[in-house]
Amino acid sequence: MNRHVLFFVWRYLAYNKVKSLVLWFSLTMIFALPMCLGHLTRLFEHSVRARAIDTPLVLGVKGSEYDLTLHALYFQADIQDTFPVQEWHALMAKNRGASVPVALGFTAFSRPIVGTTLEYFEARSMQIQEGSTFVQLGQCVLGSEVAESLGLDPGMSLMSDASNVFNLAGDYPLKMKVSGIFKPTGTPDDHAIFVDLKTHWIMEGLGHGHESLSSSDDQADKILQTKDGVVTASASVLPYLEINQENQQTFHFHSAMHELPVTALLIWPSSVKSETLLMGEFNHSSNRLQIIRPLEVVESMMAWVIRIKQFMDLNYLLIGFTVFGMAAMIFFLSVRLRSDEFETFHYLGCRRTFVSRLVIFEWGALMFVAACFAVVITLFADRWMRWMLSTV
Amino acid sequence: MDILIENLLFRWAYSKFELSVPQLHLESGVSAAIVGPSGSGKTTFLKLLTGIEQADKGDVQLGETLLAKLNGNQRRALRQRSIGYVFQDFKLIEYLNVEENILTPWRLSETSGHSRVHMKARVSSLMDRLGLVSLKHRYPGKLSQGERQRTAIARALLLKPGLVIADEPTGNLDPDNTILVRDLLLSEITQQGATLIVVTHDRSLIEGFDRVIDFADFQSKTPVKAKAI
Repeated sequence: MNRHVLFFVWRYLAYNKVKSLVLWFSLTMIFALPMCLGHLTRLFEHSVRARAIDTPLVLGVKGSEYDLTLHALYFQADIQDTFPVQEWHALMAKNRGASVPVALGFTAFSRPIVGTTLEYFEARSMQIQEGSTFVQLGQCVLGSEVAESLGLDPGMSLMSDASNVFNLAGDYPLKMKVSGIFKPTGTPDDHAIFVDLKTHWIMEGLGHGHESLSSSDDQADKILQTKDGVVTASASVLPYLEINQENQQTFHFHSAMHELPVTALLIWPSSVKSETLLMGEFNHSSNRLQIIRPLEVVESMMAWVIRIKQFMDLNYLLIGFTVFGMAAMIFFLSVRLRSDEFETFHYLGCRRTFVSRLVIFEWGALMFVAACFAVVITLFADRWMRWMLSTV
Repeated sequence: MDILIENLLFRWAYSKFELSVPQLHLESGVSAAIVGPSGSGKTTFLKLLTGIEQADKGDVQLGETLLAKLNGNQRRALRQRSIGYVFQDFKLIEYLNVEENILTPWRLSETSGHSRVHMKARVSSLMDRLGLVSLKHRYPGKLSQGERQRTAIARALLLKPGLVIADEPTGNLDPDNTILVRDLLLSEITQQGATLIVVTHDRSLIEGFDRVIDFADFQSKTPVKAKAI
């Protein structure tokens, strides 16, 4: 008997397509919006918190804690203030735990280039999928998403983006050779390009390589040449745009190595005591550096997110009441409009429960399909959010 | 199906209307036309006959069954199994096509025992006889009055009921179609051997019926016997 009820339900919904679609869409949205928001907020919180939990302390120049967290953990905010790498050496000498320097500021195909050391990969438990980590200047290792979206394999090259095309005396794009690709991690590391700190300094223009001017007596005369009335600069004064086996010996830095800049230090203290000591050493007014706990920063950010979510929940609740009110009105009007049809069923001898089953199945079918679509929308939103979170 | 009515009395609540049928007997296979002015209780009589309404007093016997002894579910089952109803305004389901409308009694009937294949064959046969084959996929909104009426008749005949009741079946039809529908009903019912009761206020329709019952005599404070014309 129920299959016949379903037949009537199906024929009614199919005949009244527009009404059915409007109801289905409204119900789908009412189910999907809070479902998506709740799921995405939990996912966001989990993902952001996980990254912060994995990085107990971050050292950087005093300023916005949010910017420093976003910069060091998610490669997002741009930080202009740097500090010398000797701070890292000093910290290592104190033996208060493991630490890894990070220098950011350049991109390649809009993906962040992260200058760091091999210890970063160990600390983040990153595993190579193809090739190897960088072993010489000019090499880079790609996050999985970068390799996939740019179609790059080990042995291929990519150029860093020009930071200022009008500044001839500034930094030049560097052609980097891909030495390896990391396995996917579901974190911002998938969307980053990793190079050695020294390679990053070369990108900044703090180190360079060129032909030796002392190798030939007449090289100096070639700094400027005049040919057919046109003055040209000699190639010997332009830096190499690629580091390879032949020219890597010519690369050098004109300042002391310990003065070269980094933007942040990621610190894994060896004990609570070490952590407390570190906080005490750096967090006083006379120090231009600060140490932050990313988890605290993230939690304070999440408090805002949760507050916004609560507001949105209230909003959806009100919209939900309105839509359900309208749906109820449509329901009662529909039942009233169909009273003739139901009376016919009664005259033809249908069971007493037939009409109520008809109405319940009809709305049940609409709600079931709406709930299924809401789940599908949430799954798509989940995939989108995971992708977004790995880029944030 | 034999129909026997004795001392039937019915009053609508909050109304002075009273229907009283002292005695009426219709033998199985008879075609009867019930005539009478509007408000004489013709439609009420049909509702009492089909068990949709219950009499205040008296007996209505359909075949061997006394309606007064049946509960609501049993009356519903009897209606489903043994009575075909052609409504004044057809009462076709707007979202079902002609074929699906004719099949409706089978879909509503959990005890018919007819298979889908058997019902499909029966629908094809009815549509063929009533000239509905080419309209089988058409919805009621796209049918003419005559086509709707034929669809309603086919629906009433689907389960081969012992009693077919038609309430003003030609009320919305022109004179030509009125005669066509009457002849169609009479021939189908004769072929099926069922009892036919047609309610009409159109006296031009009564020709061809075995019996004509004037309801003007039943609506009175003093019950009178059914008058056969």
